[in-house]
Parts: sequence; structure tokens; C-alpha cells
Amino acid sequence: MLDVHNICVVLGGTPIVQDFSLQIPTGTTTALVGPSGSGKTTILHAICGITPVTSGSVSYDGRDITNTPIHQRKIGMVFQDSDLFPHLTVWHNIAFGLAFVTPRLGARAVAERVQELLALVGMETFGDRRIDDLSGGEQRRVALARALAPWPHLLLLDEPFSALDSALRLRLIADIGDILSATRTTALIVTHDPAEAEILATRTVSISSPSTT
Amino acid sequence: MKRKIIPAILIASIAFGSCSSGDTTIESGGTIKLLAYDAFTPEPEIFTSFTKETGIDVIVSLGGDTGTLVSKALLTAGTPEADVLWGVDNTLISRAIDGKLFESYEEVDTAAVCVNYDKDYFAKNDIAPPVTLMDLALPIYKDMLVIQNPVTSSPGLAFMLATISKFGVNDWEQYWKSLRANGVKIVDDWTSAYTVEFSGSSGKGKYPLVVSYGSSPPAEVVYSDPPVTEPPTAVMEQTCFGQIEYAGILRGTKKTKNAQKLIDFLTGKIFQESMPLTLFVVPVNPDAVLPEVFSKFAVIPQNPLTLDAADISSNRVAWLDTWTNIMLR
Amino acid sequence: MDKHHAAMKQTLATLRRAALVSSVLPAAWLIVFYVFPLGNIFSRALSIDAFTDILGNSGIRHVLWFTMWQALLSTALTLIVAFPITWACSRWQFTGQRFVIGLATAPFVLPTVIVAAAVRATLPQQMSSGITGILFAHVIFNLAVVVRIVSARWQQAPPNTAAAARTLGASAWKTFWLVTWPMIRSAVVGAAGIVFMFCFTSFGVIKILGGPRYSTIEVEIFTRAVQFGDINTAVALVLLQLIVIAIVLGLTAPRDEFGKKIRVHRQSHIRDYPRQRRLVLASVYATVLFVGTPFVFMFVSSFRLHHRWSINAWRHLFDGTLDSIGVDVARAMSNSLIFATLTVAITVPLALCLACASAYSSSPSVRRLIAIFVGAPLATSAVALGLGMIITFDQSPINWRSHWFLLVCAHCTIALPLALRVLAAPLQSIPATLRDSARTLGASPLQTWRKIDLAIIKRPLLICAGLCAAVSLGEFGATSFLTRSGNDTIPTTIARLLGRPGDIVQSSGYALASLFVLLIVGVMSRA
Repeated sequence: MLDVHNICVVLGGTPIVQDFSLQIPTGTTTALVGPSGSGKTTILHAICGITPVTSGSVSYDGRDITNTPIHQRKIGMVFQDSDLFPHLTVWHNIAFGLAFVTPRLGARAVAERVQELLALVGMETFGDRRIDDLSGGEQRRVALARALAPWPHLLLLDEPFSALDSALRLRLIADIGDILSATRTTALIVTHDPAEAEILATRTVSISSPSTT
Repeated sequence: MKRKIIPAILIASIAFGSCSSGDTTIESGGTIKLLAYDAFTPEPEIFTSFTKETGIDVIVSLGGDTGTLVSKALLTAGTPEADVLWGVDNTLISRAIDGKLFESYEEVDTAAVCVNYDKDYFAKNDIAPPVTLMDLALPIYKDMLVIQNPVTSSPGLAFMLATISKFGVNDWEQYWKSLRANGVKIVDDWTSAYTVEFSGSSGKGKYPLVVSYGSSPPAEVVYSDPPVTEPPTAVMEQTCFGQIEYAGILRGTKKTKNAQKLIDFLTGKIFQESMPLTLFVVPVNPDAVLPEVFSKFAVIPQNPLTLDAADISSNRVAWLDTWTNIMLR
Repeated sequence: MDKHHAAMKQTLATLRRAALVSSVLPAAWLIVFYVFPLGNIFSRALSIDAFTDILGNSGIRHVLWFTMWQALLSTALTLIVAFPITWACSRWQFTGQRFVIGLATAPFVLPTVIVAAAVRATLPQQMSSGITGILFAHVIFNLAVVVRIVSARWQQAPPNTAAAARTLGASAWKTFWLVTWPMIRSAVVGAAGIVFMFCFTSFGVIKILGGPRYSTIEVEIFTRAVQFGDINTAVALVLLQLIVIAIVLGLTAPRDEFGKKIRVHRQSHIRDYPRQRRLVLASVYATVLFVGTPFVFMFVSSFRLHHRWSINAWRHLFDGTLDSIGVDVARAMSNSLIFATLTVAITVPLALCLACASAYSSSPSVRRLIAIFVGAPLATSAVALGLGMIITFDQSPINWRSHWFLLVCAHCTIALPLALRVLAAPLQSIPATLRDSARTLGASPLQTWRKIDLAIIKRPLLICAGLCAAVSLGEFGATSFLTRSGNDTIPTTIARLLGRPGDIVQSSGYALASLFVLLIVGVMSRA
């Protein structure tokens, strides 16, 4: 279980997040809904360690990870946009995180895992493609596969569908919902669209500015 | 603030606008430009009598070491930046002639480039001063000699030529290899060698042997403070290389007549008699009387080492290359 | 509507035509003052013999080898020293950032001679000439190249990509190597190429810090031509140097693979990240100390005479003491000022013509041609340019070789490529719609150009003028060649002072260099 306890984040002298608390039980998907500027993204960044918290604590399964470096938290993240590695193929993007899994995976295990994820997101034949050649929807799928690959304890999704047109978006929401429940991933998804939250999440948390629960 | 800068620049431009050499064609009175090497330091008021007599003002401009002076003058041969050039020596005169630098030129002085030594040092340490060039390569004189780079300094070049004259084109390289092994110190110019590194002069440096001139000892007496009657330095007469310096009218000048007047003055009795104690060179004018301190302490070798000017001219670059390879690489 | 449309198209066509016509001037300039002199030295003095001679001469081979390894080592050291500050400034925001970047990159606009003087004042006496000083000066001078070029690219790398790598389990170092490095690599390589070029053709630094022993090709060209009078060898060396530089620049020219989306991402302010704060501050302080210390030492040295404190060295600059060694500081300063003013007055209009021709041109090959044509002088030895000018302008009616304005012509030719770079980018980025709307409001093409284009590049024009002045004030290679007695500039005067022994002369050299730095800082901080 993820336990976010009374965190405050101050950036550039401005309080962005104030006394925010949240619990996410293992195996469930929670949606964080709120208007833009309410500090949703900052909360995700604080949970995975990209932005340090000014006060409060983050713990996972009772272990305090507030000061744990990002790469040791095992928290996956799908960013709003432009987060894929442009110099790597789809295959290598997905395999990226597998290089740091302990115990070390053999080449064959890596290949199997990548293939498994390509299948999961419905892109079996896309392994050799370059990122620049993918459509927006395809890029989102690769981002999801990449984040899931190293078996994260928790997956954070930051407005994963914001840049897509509506038809594609509906399909992708359904697909991702399926994937999350099939893999029984613990997830926190940030969105400004309550309908999206409804479909994806088992629980919805709303925040308004300034961000307090 | 900004508005004031622009007029200031304009005024400055007008004031210094004539950076270039004068294109004046009028030849009565006026000025004449004398280009010389950096070490040209005559008596400050020496040209006053010339100006009084002829109405011509002399502007002296210094153009670097002798090699640079001649090379740059050669690049502008025919359209000179001055009217008279002082200081081409016998190591460079062939180049100047080949490059048609001069309309005419004359010998103005002679000098001898010789190794000098610090008398006190050798007395104190109870070592006999070296006598021949060969002695300088002996272990007893290890780390004692400071010389100039012949590429950038004319005494340095003269000293290199002295060794070629002495040991011949076949053996001089070997001699320099042994000098290098014996810890010879190389600096860029005479001033650094003599006034900084040499222990016998003002710099009180570490090296008791230095390449300088046969006339350096009287200079020590003239410039000593407090006054001394005996120079603290002496000359190794067998190391001397005979230097002849020339002054010439630069080809292309429009003031040939005035230039000739200046040449006449430079070779005349007044200037020639002033040279020994200002430029420390030996006059060529037989009428010039040498000052006592000069005739007493200067070494004017009767048969200095020397090389044929044409020989120097055709081999200079190759010799300098060889020297650089042995000594600096 | 159609009428309007036609008028708009016509605006650009008119501008294009005007720019092409006006670019005849800079083209003519480059032909006369670059192509002609260089072509002349090659055609006159280049021979196969001279070429085989230089390769067979063990002394020259030694110079080639030294030139190569010191340039490689200088480049590597510059990259290493520049890394922390580049990282700090690309990834983070911090208070005083602009000041720090300004300070770290300032030596680049100073004359190389002054950077070398500062290094010489810093090192202990027995190290005052030698490889340590040369490397030190090269690093300080070239830091700006790496910091500017690399951080411009690094800031475009999306921070999310690096963060994503971290969330996937990569440590900070792994993230740098696997994600950030591939994105900035071409910028680093491009910067390294430029730094290598500057170090390979180093002249002023070697002249001041090399002593009799160390010589680069550029210095050797000068020595051969001026001290030996051996033009043929000098010319062969010029060509050899040009070939090496062309190869290196060709190999290291940046290829924009991931630079399509030009977007500078906002950086995080360091005060919000206590963990990284110490590292950023350490990087910043270390760099400032590294760059600033030599200048402090130089300033202090100018007040030292005979191991005592004294302001006499400063006084001697103007009281005539230095006359006896043929140095006239006031004259050198006014010369430098006049040359710089004329260089600005000539180069800025020429660069503007070319920048317009390049920006308004519809064909990329015209742009490339202009870039190559103008970039060539940058890669050419300044010493060679000076040599070419002297032996070219020797026949009436162009018998200008002993005229001071030939110096100005050399300065302009050297400044032109840099000036063009500053102006071309902002001109190209002006959207056509701006001009169109001006036209619809009734402005003529010329008025449109004046009100829109000229107004927008007002600041780049100022920067351009400053850069041209800096080039002229600092130029040393070509100046050493073309200067005649009485035409000394500040850099050649400093070199003369530092090249002579004696406490007074040395301290005066430091005083003059300090004075120049103070003047530059004063002018820059007002701009």
C-alpha cells in the first residue's frame, strides 16, 4: 500500500502542494481529478521522487521512501508527453528498465519480457520502429509498456491521454483499463476529466486548488 | 556618455589619422624617418646638430629584433615605411641585397660577438675561466652558459655562426649537442640573457658565462652604480665573431637626398664618436677617436671568426633549422 | 484579397532582390580581402617541393606533432572543465546564473594575449613558459565555446526523458550516459571541433607562454615568414593547417538528429532541490574560481615592482618611461580604438547585407554557399591572411601593404563570419505574417523592412557590433604581420612588453592588460 502523508511541496517560494494525504491499496487504481494548476503533476513527481517534498512523508508497504533516490523506488511513471527515448527503437525503449532489474535478467528473459509487453499493448510488430515514426496513440502505448516492463510496485500516469483525439482516446482508455486490471497493477492516474476517471479507476480523489484533501 | 564617445573618436582619428608613413614629396627640410632595431639607443640629443644644420627632423622608429626588422622591410621593399634603415649586419646583408632593399648602403660600425664571463664568480670558486669554444663543452663549465636563440636574436645568430666558422659545416652540430648536454640555457633575446640571467651584470642571475659583445666590459664601467674603475666582466677573445653593421637608403623613398644627408651624418665624426659609449660598437670612420674607457676595456679582436656573407645567406635557414632541432626539440 | 496576397508575395520578392543586390558588396569584399590574398600566396609560393620539404624536416614534424597533441589535450581538458558548469546551467536555475555564465564565458571576448598574460601572472616563475600554462590558457579561453553550444542543446533535451529513465531504475550516471549523452553528443562533438580549431591555430597564447621551445604551426608560419624570410615553407604550412582544420570541422559538424523540436524547457530552481544544491554550487564556485583567479593575479601583479607594492607600473604606462623601448601606450590605445571603430562601421553593414540575402533566400543551397563562403575565413590562419595581404597589395594602384587601413581590412574579414552568425538566425526567425500585416497596413517594402526586420534585430545588431569590436581589439595573428612601427595595437603592445625582461616592463604589461580588461568589463556591463 502506498501511503502519502501530509506532504507539502514548495517550488520557487510558492506552495504548490499543501498537506496532501492519500492511500492507495495494492492492486487498485485510483484517479486523482482536479483542474489544471491544482498541483496534480507535482504530487506524482513527489511520489516518485523527481521533486523533493518540503515536509511530510511517502511510504510504501510501511517502508519510508521519502528520501529514497528515484531509481530505487520501483515506481513507474508515464509522463504527459515527450518522455520516450528518441534515439532508441521501440524494443530498446521497453527493454531499458529491464537492465536494472535485480537479480539480473539474461538476454533471453529480457527478450521474452519485451515481447510479452509488446503483445500486451497490441504492438507485436513494432519492435524495430523508431519513436519518431509512431503516431501519438502508439507512443502512449509504448510508454505504458516501458513503464510496466520492470515490474514496478506502483504505476503513476500523468494525463496519459491529454494529447490525443477523442476517438483514439476512448479506445486507449478502454485498452489501458483492461491492461491495468489484467496485470493487477497498483496505479495512480492523474486526469482533469471525471469521465475518464470513472472508466479507469476503482476510486476517485478530487483536489481543488490549493491542493488539500 | 555615449554621445561624448563619438566626437572623441573622431578627434582621435584626426589626430592619429596619419598612422601611415609620410607621403610627403617636398624635400626641403621636413622630416626623415630612420628605422632601426629595438636596441638602437643613441644619445638622446644626438640628432639636434643634424637638424640645426640641415633643417631636417629625424624620427626614429624601432622595428623589433634585427631579423624581424629586415624581413618586414623586405616584404615592403620598394615601398618602404621609412627612408633610412639602420642595423642590417653581415649575417643578413646578402638577403637585403638579393631582395633589392636598398638604393645604397654603407658600413657604419663593427662589433664582436663574444662570450663574456663574470670574473668574480670564477675567482671565488677557484676555477680558471674558459678560453676556447671547446672549453664551454667541458663538464667543469656545466650549467654556466646562457645564450640567445639565433632565430630571434642577432648575437645569438652570430654566436651560432662563430661555431660553424670554427668547427666547420661537418662538426658544428656535434659541438652543439655537447653544449646541450652541458646544460646551456637558451633565452629569446640579448637583454634577457645579459641583464637577467648573467651573474656579472645588473640582474645578478645564475649564469657566469653569457653571449654578449666585445664591448660589454666598458659598458659595465660606464653604467656602474656605484662607480667602478675595473669592469667585473671579461671577454673570451677566441670566441669572437666579427659583426659588421650597415645603414642604407631604402629603395623607393622619395627623400633620397635627405636620406643621403642622414647617412653622411651617421658615418660622420660626431655620430661615430658617440657610438662606442651609447651603442657599444666600434666606429668605422678612421677620424673617430675612441673614448679612453672603451679603448682600455673593450676587446676588438684582430682576427675574429667570420663567414662569407653569401655563404650565410644561402645556408642560414637550413642552419637555423638544424640548430633548432638540436637545441629545442 | 488577391491583390493583398500578391502584394505580400511581392514584399518578400522585393526584399530578396534588394538583399541579393546588396550582397554584392560583401561578396566583393571577401573576394578582394580573402580569396585574392590567399589564392595569391598559394599560386605564388606553393610548390610540391616545399610540401615534401616540410614533411621531411624533423623539426617541422616535431612542430606538427606538438600542435596536434596540445590541441587534442586542450580540447579534452576544456570539455572536462566545462562539464560541471554546463550541467549546472543547463539543468538548473539558480540566483546569479546570468552573472556566472557571463563571467565564465567572458575570456572568449578578451584578446588571447591577455588571457595568456593572466595565466603567466598566475603561474610560478619557473613554470611561466611551458605546456602547463598553454593548456591552462586554452581551457580558460575556450570554456565559453563548450558552455554556450552544449548548454543550448542540453536545455532542449526534454527533462521528462531523463526523469523517465530514473523511474525505470537507472542511476543518475546511467541516465546521463544512456539518455542525456546521446541527445547532447552532436553538440559536444561540434563544440569540441571548434575548440580544437582554436587550439590548433593558437598563436597569441603560444607567443606569450611558449618560450623558445614550444611552437605551433601558426607560430611556425610566422617565424618562417618573418624571422627566416622563408615564405615557401610558410605557405606550405598554411595549406597543411587549412587541410587539417577542414577535415576536423567536417568530421565534427553537428548533425541535428534529435534537434527537430526546438523547445527550451524550463529548468527547476536549485533551491527546491536540497540534495543537488551542493553539487551545483560547487560546480559554479569551482568554475568561477578557475576562470577568475588568473585575472586577479594579473591585476595584483600589476601593482608589484621589485617585490614591493607600487602603482608605478600603471604610471609608467603614460609617463613616457616606455618610450625608450619603442612602446607608446597612448598611441596603441588610440590605434586600437580607431581600428575597432572602423571594423564595426564596415563589418556590421556587410554582415547585414549577407544575413538578409541568406534569410530571404528561398533556396537552401544559397544559404549553404553563404555559410561556407563566410565561414572559410574563420578556419583560415589569421597569420596566413596577414601574409597574403602583404604580398598581394604590393602593386600600384593597390599598393597598400604599409598602410594601416590594411589592418582594418584584415580585422573586418576575420570578424565577418562571426557577425553574420549573430544576425542570420534572428532574421530567419521573423515570421512572414509580421511583414504581411505591415504591408496590409499600407507600408512600402522598404518601410516594412525598416519597421519590422530592422526593429527586431536591433539587439542582435548591437551584439554584432560588440563582437566586431572585440575581434578587432583582440586580433593578434594578422596584426603581428601587418603592424608597422607606430601602428601597434593593445595586444601587440602587451606582447612586446611581456616579451622583454625587467620588472618595470613586465608589470607595465600586466597593468595594460588589466586596464584593458577593466575597460571591456565597463563597456559590457553598460551595454
